[in-house]
Amino acid sequence: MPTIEISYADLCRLAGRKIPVKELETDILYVKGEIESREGDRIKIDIKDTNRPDLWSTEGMARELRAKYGATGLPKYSAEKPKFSVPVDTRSPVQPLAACAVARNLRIDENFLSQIVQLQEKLGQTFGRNRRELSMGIYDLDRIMLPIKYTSMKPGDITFTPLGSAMEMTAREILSEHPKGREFGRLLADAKEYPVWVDGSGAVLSMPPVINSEPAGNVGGHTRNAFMECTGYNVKFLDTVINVLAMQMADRGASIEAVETAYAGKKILTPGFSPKKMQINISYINKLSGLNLTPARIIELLRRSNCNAIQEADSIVAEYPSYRQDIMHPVDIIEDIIIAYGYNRIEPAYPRLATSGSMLATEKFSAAIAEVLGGLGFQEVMNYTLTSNQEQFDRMGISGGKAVEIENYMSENWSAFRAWLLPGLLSFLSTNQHSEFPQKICELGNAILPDESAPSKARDVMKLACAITGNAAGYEDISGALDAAMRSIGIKYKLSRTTHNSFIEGRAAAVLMENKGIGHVGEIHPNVLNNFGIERPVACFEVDISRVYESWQQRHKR
Amino acid sequence: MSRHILTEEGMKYLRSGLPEERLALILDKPLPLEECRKRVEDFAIALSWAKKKGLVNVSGNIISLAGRPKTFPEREALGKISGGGDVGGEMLNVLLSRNLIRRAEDDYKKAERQLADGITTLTPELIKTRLWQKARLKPYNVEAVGRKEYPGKRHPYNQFLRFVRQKLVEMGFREMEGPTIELEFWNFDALYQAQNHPSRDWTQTYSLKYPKYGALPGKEMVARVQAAHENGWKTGSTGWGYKWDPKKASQLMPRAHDTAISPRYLSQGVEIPGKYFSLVRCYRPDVIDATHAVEFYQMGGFVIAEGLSFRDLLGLLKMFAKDLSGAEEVKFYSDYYPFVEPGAQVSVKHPEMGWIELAGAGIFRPELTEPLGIKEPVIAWGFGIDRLAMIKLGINDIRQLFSQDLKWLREREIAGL
Repeated sequence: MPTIEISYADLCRLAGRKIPVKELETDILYVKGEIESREGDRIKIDIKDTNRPDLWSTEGMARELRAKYGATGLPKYSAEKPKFSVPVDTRSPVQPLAACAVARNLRIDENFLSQIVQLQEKLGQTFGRNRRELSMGIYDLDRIMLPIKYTSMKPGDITFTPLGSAMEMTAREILSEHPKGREFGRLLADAKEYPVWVDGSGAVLSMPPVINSEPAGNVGGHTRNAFMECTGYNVKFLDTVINVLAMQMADRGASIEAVETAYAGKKILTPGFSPKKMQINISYINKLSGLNLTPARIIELLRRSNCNAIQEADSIVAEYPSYRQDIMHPVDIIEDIIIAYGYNRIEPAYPRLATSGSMLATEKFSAAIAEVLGGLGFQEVMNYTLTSNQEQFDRMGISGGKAVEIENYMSENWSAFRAWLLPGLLSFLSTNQHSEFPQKICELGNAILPDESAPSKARDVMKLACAITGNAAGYEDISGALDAAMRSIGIKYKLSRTTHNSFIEGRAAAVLMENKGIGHVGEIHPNVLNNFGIERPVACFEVDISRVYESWQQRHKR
Repeated sequence: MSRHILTEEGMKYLRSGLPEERLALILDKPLPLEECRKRVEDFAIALSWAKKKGLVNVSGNIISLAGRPKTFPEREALGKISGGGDVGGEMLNVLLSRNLIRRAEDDYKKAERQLADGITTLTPELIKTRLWQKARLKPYNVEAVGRKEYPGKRHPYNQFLRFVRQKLVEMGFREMEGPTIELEFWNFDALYQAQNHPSRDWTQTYSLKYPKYGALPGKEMVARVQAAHENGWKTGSTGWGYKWDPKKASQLMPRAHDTAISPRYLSQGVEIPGKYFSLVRCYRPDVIDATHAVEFYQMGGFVIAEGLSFRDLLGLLKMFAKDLSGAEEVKFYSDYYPFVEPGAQVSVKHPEMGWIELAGAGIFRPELTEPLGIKEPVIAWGFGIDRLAMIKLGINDIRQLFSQDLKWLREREIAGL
């Protein structure tokens, strides 16, 4: 969700109304926004909708508020006929499509400039998925020699001065040394040729999706006329972005001029401001909203949402602006109607439905077991299911353990799912070496095991693990606790001597139920204790409660 | 050490003489029987033994002394025994038959030892031997706080989660479950979140190194979901307008939101009307700090019934807000999730912390429900339950929900839920 920083005074000016702060707190809901912070004139607003890039600027919010206050209907934007055409002949697989526009007679002040910069940043970040799907640039048209073209070049042939730098750099230097190159260079990783915007003099204007050049890309107070472009893969997205950029300029008094994009075999004119239409059944509007709105009221609410609308028989035909690419289905228009009506003006209703509630059977079962463990004096603990293979295998003296592993982890501590619970209990004990002894802890929770036979190649297994530590904690204490727990739920089991690297040789047993292993009980090997930094003996067990539950359920079936 | 101890009777006779001895004492001159009965305790015993020993003559109702004995060996024996000594076999039999002594055996030794230490602990031996009578039971410092005990308690966070579960069940909701490792299909695609589209970026998600790909569910349903993404299928929507990739959908990931469970249930058939919820752990990459965790609980679900509207959604949220958080004041905001339209967010007013965001919600889009075979409106919500838990448990660091501090867990009072 993008956070947009704006000037309060600037917003009021563009909205055409001095909005009292109290009112703004409510009215900001009309733009799906929430005031995050306010410091004097600077306001930070979280815009909830990641699919409404038209709202991510002061100009965009003001556009929405003007309609809300004035029921002004479809906003009037138009583009003059194109004065030039831009050929597109890139051979690069990266962002092969482009859309362009020109804004003339600009007067760029500080507020405007900060919004130009911020809007581009948010569009690239959120709408462009960090420039993976699309990127854009704005240039001082008076510093560009026509004709402009979008083409591609071999990395070795590209040299220009990146925006904000004093020196020319090669494409390779930019990717390895320039901060933007290092951040976005990976998007060009597999390309033999890089996409470039080039002007009539052969100068490189920019290298999408990485960076623009000096001096053409340097837009500021001196800029009177601007060229805007957006490159990517999806025409719908490109059109939306170029419209949003052009409207920002238009809202600040510039006149917009279309640009023809010439592909081999077809020509496309952008920006296009022709509205789109959608027909919506009136009863559907009232049914879904739960409101009882007259057609006239619906039309008025739509006019407060930047739409024109008329009634046609039992339907409303809404005309909505072209930048609203988020509208796919009548429900999208209905939301606009409800937002314009005001969520907090609606009287909530509660659906009175005769349904019977129930908890998961395994939840009830585990709660019953937890009660027994409480009776045995075990303090329940809760650990994360995310851990590391180092903790759950290496430190436990286990080699070749297999766990579900995260690819894009941010910290190795949270890089794999636990396959068992005991390492977590030992880790817990290691952080409580200065608490009173003896310590008796237990955990009931899921382990996540790789399982080729499951549709998602892994399955959740509920496990119970208990540990006792203290100067005299031993096998009998823990096997006694295990026995008490199993007897309490009527499960027959056997202990069978076993060897396990986590336990002391001769002090470990497999827990067998119906002759199948469901866990282990024993005293932890001093080597493992050293690995965890635990200074007293630990006796513990872990059993598969999912399996125990299945057996219990079999027995209690009628 | 004597192996016998005096009975109560034996002790009395040792103190004040045997009954026949006491009888002999008053017979300075012959006395009427009735007078003797009044003056001598245990007269019947006294007369019987005095006769047996030939100490008295009885003629008519007058008793007279036959001869005054020098000693009463029984009394001497009692004295010896009570002093810890022993007596001969015949005398022992006499005393035992008169029930003046009984065998003390080991109790005696123990009790003696305990007596020597002074009676702090009242033992079974002291009680049985009555030796407690010989000593004062020491008083305690009864006003001191008792010894530290640590009961086995449930984890406070689990207590809270159980409260939430219970509340939902009481409201008539049925609990759902789903796998932690989920197909992108259920986490995203079945929820109408376009591939390679910002609609998938409303949250960061983890991807897996192992295992990587899972198996997509039934072909027909998958084909309907694909059509909904590409062209809206029969839902009256334009769809997202792109080529849907089944390979992408079969990628595995840890569930990033509880809503991933809902389409599984909807596609398998649910009761209508029906109310469902899940309370599960979800996973998102983040930099861990006081307000961000990579693993956290969410409570979400849906209500399905003919004729449900946005007003019902607001009512449901308001009820949740009041019942789960105890808040009186609620506020609704517009919100965006690609799978709902209209979308909403509910915030509650906390007495100290001000407005707190509680849940995101909305009506599931037709592009989501119809391909799963659902025609009725479905209102859905997702609670970030951790925030509520922190408020309820009075903690201000999200990491403390999974506290590793045993002292804290031991000392915590049971949450007054």
